[in-house]
Order: sequence, then C-alpha cells, then structure tokens
Amino acid sequence: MNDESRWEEAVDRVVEGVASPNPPSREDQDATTASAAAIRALVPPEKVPAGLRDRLRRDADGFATAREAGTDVLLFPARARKHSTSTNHWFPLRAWGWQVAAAAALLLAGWIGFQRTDGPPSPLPLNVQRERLVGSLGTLNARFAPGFDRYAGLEGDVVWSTDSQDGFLRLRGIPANNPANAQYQLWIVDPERDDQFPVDGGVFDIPPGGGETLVRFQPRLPISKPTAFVITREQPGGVVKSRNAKPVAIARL
Amino acid sequence: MPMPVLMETIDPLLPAVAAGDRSAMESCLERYEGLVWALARRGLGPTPEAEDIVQEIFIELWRSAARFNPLAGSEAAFVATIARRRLIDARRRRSRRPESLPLDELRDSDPIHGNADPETRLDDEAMRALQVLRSLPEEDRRMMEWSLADGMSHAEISDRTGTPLGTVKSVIRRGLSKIRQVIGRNTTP
Repeated sequence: MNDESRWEEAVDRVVEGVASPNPPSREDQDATTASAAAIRALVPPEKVPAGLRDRLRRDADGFATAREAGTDVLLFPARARKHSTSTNHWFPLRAWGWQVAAAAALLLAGWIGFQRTDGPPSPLPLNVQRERLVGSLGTLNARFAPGFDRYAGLEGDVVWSTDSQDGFLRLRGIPANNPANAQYQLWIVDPERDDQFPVDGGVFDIPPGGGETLVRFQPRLPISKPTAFVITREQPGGVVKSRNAKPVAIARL
Repeated sequence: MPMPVLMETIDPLLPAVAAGDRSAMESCLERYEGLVWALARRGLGPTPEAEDIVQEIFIELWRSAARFNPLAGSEAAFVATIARRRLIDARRRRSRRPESLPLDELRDSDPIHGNADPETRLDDEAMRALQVLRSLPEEDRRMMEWSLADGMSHAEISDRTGTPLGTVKSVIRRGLSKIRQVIGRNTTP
C-alpha cells in the first residue's frame, strides 16, 4: 500500500469515527491532527449554559476527590437520559449527582460511584441502597454464571425491582476495561417487551485493581418481566444492538 | 474583507490534570468547555442530551489526560478528537438524524465568512487550518464542515447533497490533505 492509500484510509477512519490501529500510524496521527485543527477553525467556542457549567465543576471536584483518595471512578450513564415514550424527546437532566456526602462514605468503603439522578440526591451509599432494595418485597435476585475464557473468574449477582425499575450489579473477577477502548454494557432480556432484542441497561466501567464493583442501573425503557441479565463488552459508549456472539456473563432468573 | 482572527499559543494543561491538580482542571474547563459545548450543540442541538455528552467528554478527558503526548499533537487536538468521537457515538445511538441548526443561526460567529467574534482565539494549527478552509470552494468547505463540525457521515452528506459518495470522500480527503501540509511540521515524529 502506498503513502496516498494509507493517508486516504486514515482520513476515512478518523472522519467516520472508526478506531485507529493501535499504535496509530503516522497517517492516522496526521489525519487526527488535521481534522481537529479544522474543527477548531470551524466551530467558535460558545457560552456554556449556567447549569451545565455548574455541573462540570461539580464533576471536576468529584473526580479530583476520587483521585486524591486513590480510587478510580465509575460512570453510570444509564440514568442520565430517560426516554419519554409519549413524546420521543429526552427528559431534561436536572441534576448531575456527584453526591459529595455519599462519595465520602463510598470512599471509606473503597469505591466510589458517579451517578446522575433526576430527583434529589440520595444521601445513602450505593451498598446501603442495594441492601434496602434486596429487602424490598418482590425484588428479584440471580447469580451470574461464570463467563467464558478471560471471564471465567467472574462472580457476581444482580438484584432487580420491577416496582421501582431499579437494580444493582455486584461483580468480582471481571477484567478492568480502558474506557477509551471498550466498555461493559448491560442488557435486560424481557420477552414481554421484545423476545428478540434485549433492553439496554447502560454502560459501565471496571477499574483496575480487582475487588468488588457495585453498579446501579435504571434502564431507559420500562421492564415488566425480565428473564435474564446479560453483560457484553462493547465499543466506548455502548451500542444500540449488541453484535457480540459471546456474552461476558449471563444471570438467568 | 475578513476580520483578523487572533492567534494564541498556549501551554498544555493535561499533564497537570493527570497529576490531579484541581486548579488545572478548572483551567482546563475554562479553556475548552466553550469548544466542547459548541460541538455538542451543533451535533445534538441545544438539548439535555448535548449537556449530558459534554459532561461525559470531560470525564473521559480527565481520565485520559495521562495519555496525552505533546509530541503526537496539540492538546487542543487531543480534546477535539475525544469530543468528536463521543459525539459521533451519540449520533449513532440516536434512531433519527438530529435536527441541525439553520446555517443562518451559525453565521453570527462563523470564522469562515470572516465575521468571527473578535474575542475568538485560535491556536497555531487552527489558524493554519482556517486559512486553508477559506481558500476552498464553498461547496467543498460546506462538506468539510458537515463532516468535521457536525459529525455527519460520508453517506449522510452524499444523501443530503446528491453528490456521489466517492466524491464526498475525495473532497474531505483533499481538504484535510491541504491542512496536513500546512501544519505538517507539528506532526513529524
């Protein structure tokens, strides 16, 4: 392949948002730099809405606090965008819950959750919230079967409340991911909704260092009778429909 | 006659961000939040989803700060690349094409047409890219803008303009090749 062909392929990858080879070729680096320069030339900075500006600073504070405590951070985007079935518009996001009080408690427990909520922030650490959900009437519980290959050491369970549309994953032995390359994604199988396509439960990250990870999820679409919870590993940000033939783990109810 | 766009050379903040420096994180927000928000608003509209994505972009930026290599490109390029990838992912997750803003709404601060906000500051690479973009035929520049600034795919641009897909690719490749030539000194290992 000549230089021109390599350049054209690199441009197409960068422009279309396809991952570059690792490590990136010189052509990929050049295409990235050129496209980024064009973007900065084409898009004048704009004044950020006041609410977003405040949330960004709370994010920064929460992130710095977590880093100072020597922990990595988990992002739970599943609650960020709730889908309105009646209008097909996104509900306004009113609060970005870097819950400082909860974070302090979570740091003591060795982990921290970043969580966005549409209501008032809860003062309770996630593990306490999980235990409360476990004790609620009608809450379902299932263990994840050991995964394949590199996921054979996975242990964990899922608790789910159809009444509150709220659930928690508790995972151990699942390899850490680099969010820039891949993220884990939860799927909920609900034949009452669709017997072919599971519902997206959101993406999450596993920080390095092992240990137990707790993930709270609140799917965008209502779940009525779940029969299984499936974890896959997908591109950053997740996918609309998983094409992964081999799930990371499955918990059947 | 186009108004001059001021050029600014800035020291990178990401190494200090990677070290956990809170003031660097604040400076990082001050420096880039306007660009990231502008990109998100263009790609997704002034929606809660766009605000949501901006937050995700900055979290990814802070988490990735240690990977920033000034020899491989500028900090602004690093930020813009992360932002654009996230926005392309967000667009793909949408089941419908986002409503783009009428171009007239963008003209008030459009540097291509020479009426940029006088406060707009461009770094060296962006300034060179702007000169190239101003030299392109209007139709070519518009395709590059839709692709790079709005995150439209080649196929979407082809559908929108009725231009053959291969021509769309060629226009964008050629435009970026010219920009590469004028800023190439920064990307040579």
